[in-house]
Amino acid sequence: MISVNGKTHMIVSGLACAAVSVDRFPSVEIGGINVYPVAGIIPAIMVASWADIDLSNSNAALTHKIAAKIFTHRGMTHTLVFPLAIAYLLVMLMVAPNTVPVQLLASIVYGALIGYLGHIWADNLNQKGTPTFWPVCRERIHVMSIATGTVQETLFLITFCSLSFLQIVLTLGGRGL
Amino acid sequence: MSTLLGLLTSTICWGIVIYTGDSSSYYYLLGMPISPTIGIIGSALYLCIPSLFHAGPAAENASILSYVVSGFYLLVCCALPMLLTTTIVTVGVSSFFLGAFFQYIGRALIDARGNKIVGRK
Repeated sequence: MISVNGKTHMIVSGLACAAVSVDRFPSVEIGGINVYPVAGIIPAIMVASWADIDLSNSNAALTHKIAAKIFTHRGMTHTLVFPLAIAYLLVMLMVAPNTVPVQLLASIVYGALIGYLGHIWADNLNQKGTPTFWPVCRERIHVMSIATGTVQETLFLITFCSLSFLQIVLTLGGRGL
Repeated sequence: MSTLLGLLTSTICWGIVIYTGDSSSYYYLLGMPISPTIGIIGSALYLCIPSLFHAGPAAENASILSYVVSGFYLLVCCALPMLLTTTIVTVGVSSFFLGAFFQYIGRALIDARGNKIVGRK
């Protein structure tokens, strides 16, 4: 088993965005635009599985079957190219006036960015790794060797959820160091 | 050999952190609060359980650049939690990955020379 479960990706990305939302509540100013990370939680969860469009049995690939044939799994879709493209969209929004629709759109793109980065980070905890820094470095890298679909993945998920909830609670309680 | 060098570098690095820090629970490294206890646990886990805790290129015969990039990625993992409000969680996660990075410095020196992947099954 080399593919991280889709639900794990959704939980990791969703919780990461939730932690950022609580930390930067209600908004964070990026390039003169007020971005509301809380509005990005749902997009983060949705985008979390997009990178696996190259996996034939993933939910994303079931609706876009051609993509699964074009890309090899954990290939180009698992590099920083796509997050950079999403970040470019965010930068493009910075030139727009700071109105509510622009803020909402920027928040959605912000959430999508966290969701996609969360996916790549989670895949880097797997033995197969990802070519994150392609084309600078073509080889796959990883920072852990958690075997997916095993008790290791479950333990990781429990640990990640616990730490995320603790971080959210501590931030809400204003209990820094 | 690589494990031994990883142990050596992590011991030296944590020694420097503890020696140069004050006597409080947290030590500040470039402005970042670090918990040596969690960091040493991180180093120890990466050294003792390479089948589960292993960082580096995922394939054999990897280039030197991929070893450098892997080390950089460990530092990114260490710095990312610091973007959030500083709590015991962010300090713990950062310290854990810093511990991983300290042992990685020494181990990667040997692995990169021989392209030996310790955690590879």
